[in-house]
Amino acid sequence: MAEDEREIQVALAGNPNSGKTTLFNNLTGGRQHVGNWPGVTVEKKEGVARQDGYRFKVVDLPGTYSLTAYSLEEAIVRDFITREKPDVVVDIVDASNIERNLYLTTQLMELDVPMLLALNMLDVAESRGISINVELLGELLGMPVIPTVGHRNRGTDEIKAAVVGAIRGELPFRDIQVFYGKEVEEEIRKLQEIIELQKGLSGELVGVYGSRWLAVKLLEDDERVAGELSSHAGGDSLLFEALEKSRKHLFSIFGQDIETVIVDYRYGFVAGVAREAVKREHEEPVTASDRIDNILTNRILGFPFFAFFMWLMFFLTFFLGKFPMHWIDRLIRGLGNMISTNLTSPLWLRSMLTDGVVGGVGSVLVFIPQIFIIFLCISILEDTGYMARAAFIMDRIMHWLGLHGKSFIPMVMGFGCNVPAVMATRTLESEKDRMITILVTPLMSCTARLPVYALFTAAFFAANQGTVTFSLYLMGIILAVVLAKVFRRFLFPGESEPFVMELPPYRVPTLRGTFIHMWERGSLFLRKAGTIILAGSLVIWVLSYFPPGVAYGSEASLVGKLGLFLEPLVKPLGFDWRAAAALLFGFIAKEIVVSTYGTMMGVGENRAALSTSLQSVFTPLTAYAFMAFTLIYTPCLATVAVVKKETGSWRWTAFAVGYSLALAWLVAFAIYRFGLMFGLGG
Amino acid sequence: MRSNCAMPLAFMNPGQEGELVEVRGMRHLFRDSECAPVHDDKRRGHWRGRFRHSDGGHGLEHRLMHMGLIPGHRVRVIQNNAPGPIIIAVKDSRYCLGRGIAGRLMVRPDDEGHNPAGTPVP
Repeated sequence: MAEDEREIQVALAGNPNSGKTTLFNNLTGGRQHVGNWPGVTVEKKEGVARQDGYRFKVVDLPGTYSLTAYSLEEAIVRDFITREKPDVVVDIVDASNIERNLYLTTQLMELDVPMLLALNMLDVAESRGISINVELLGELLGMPVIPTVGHRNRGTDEIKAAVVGAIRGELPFRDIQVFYGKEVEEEIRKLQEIIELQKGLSGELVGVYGSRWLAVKLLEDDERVAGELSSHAGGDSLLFEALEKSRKHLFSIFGQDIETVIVDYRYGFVAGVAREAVKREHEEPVTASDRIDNILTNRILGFPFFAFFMWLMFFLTFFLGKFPMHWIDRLIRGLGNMISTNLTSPLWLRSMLTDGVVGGVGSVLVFIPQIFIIFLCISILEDTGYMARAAFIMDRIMHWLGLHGKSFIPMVMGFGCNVPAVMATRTLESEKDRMITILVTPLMSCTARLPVYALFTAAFFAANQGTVTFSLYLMGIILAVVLAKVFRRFLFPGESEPFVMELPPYRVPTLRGTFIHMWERGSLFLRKAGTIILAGSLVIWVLSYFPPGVAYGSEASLVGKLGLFLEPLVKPLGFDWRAAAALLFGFIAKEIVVSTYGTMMGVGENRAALSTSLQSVFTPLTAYAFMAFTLIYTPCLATVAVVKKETGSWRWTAFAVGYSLALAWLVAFAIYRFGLMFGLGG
Repeated sequence: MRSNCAMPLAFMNPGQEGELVEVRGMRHLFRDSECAPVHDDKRRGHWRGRFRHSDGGHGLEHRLMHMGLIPGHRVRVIQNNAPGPIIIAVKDSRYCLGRGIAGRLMVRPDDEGHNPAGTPVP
């Protein structure tokens, strides 16, 4: 960092689907720090941009429609802007949906911070016959307006330049506020006076928010502002008496609640701006996106298309993934051979590197291509806008489960990794819907379970590997469905929340955006392989190697003793002590089930040898029961941690772990016993 | 005029258009067959009667308004997967609404609609 650089904070705000993330990536070059907002699990993204000796700390605020206190995201946006006071707020407005987007702008304007407007997706607007007079728009809103086309990286430098211009005070700003009409303004003024008068009581709140904003929020019945003010004001209720009087007075004039009146005035302001600065060729055009929706969400065709896309996702994952898998496998095997031929002593080190590291981590690294492909597919589903349609199509089925279509999105994401899937339940408004979705999402077979399937199907079901793997995915889905219904009935009875969701228009995803999206998630796996799985493999190696002198990974080793101790628990399922040990370590991360076998059997660098040794301890029937157990039992450590964070309750976390363990045991037991009954014991 | 009666969005056909009128509480759903007393006074700030205050509808109507579903705006039905959800267009936005909400959002359909108001669509 250069010495004379000045650091400034730039916040990006905007509606969901306004292209905020694309613009963020353009500004920061995709290098970002993803964390959480303090105390909550909403994702916080930060990145860095530079211009003219300034270092911008760019913060991507959550996408919101408004700045009420109803939702966590909206509260985060307004708290950040009012308390952290970013140097510049860039409001990203979707030009093809300008009026709805400007509604948020009117509320950001009330927060009294330096603002820029990035008028994004101008190309889409133009293609729909919407032309916008950019200069006039800027004049009407009293702030600089910069046209951008996020997905072509146009306007990025102009935004940076404008941010610097705003910092240096070179750009024209005018303080423009929504005028709420004579009657409302009169009451705002009255409340403002009292707030100013009681400045001593409300203290810093006036400094943070400004008295006008506080007055408007009080009239809007904003619970958080009212709560904060009353806690500051102590016993003094002058303000709230006046507020009550104002509300009554306004109700007698308008005949409806004041919040509705205020929202209406904001839209009125927006409509006025749009009338001046926006020209439309067609009043309500039927867009290309609507025509696609006629087919893809059609009541008859919708579901077959959806099923096809899901099939395609898995087909691509398994089919395309095979090739790079092969190369990586060969590379790892070569590495293992190289170590064992060149490193002859000490023996323990050789064993640790070949059996522990290469055997443990290598057996998981092979699946990186498949993991990346499935994340790529999920990113494409999201970035094209199809994921929201999937929620629409699945709503009927989900409704039958007592959930609605939105719950389906985390479940699809669960096929990639359960951790972001559980986090994605944030978008569900109802606490009950969220809990049910969090509890059943780990049943979606994530990519970490793939190595287990791949290893076992290759060893036991070589002829129909695909079908067997598919049956496991299906089993996960069916169990999730059944359990969602059970949980709704017995644990969280009641109606599901009203279902409203904006459908973003279909978009051709950009290569860059989709790859960044995929990388964000997929790289977590690489990191996991380098940390947790490596550490787990080494622990298992130690347990297999010691006490000194025993045969590696035998019953006499530590891992053998541990496994033998647990064996009675899994004996009824037809598993031996090795399976018990593998499942125990698999709790850390499910891939470790495979690593454990790779390490324990000391054949890590050779997958064919591993298959052969597995055949000596499993039958096809017990192998299938084992895969089912792996699918269902206890979500991995990372998922458990995120379940705890999201539910905020140890009790529910323990329940999630406990029910899945019990269910896994029962299902594996049923598979094994029924299999034996039908003579599949083999 | 029969065709000017407000009806639940849930009963409208794909392609049909109209004007958003109000969000109704559950209590009123499917009960009154006659026209809702809707004022035609469109002057700003005079929305008397547009919203009926009834149970359950209150928080929801505000949420819908913040999302851009405003009484007086025009609405077009894009897809109606009865008895499932519905997709509508309001201005430049497209929304997916569950059956529950679609049954409570009252719309005054245009006269020239193929499906006269009040006739439920299967």
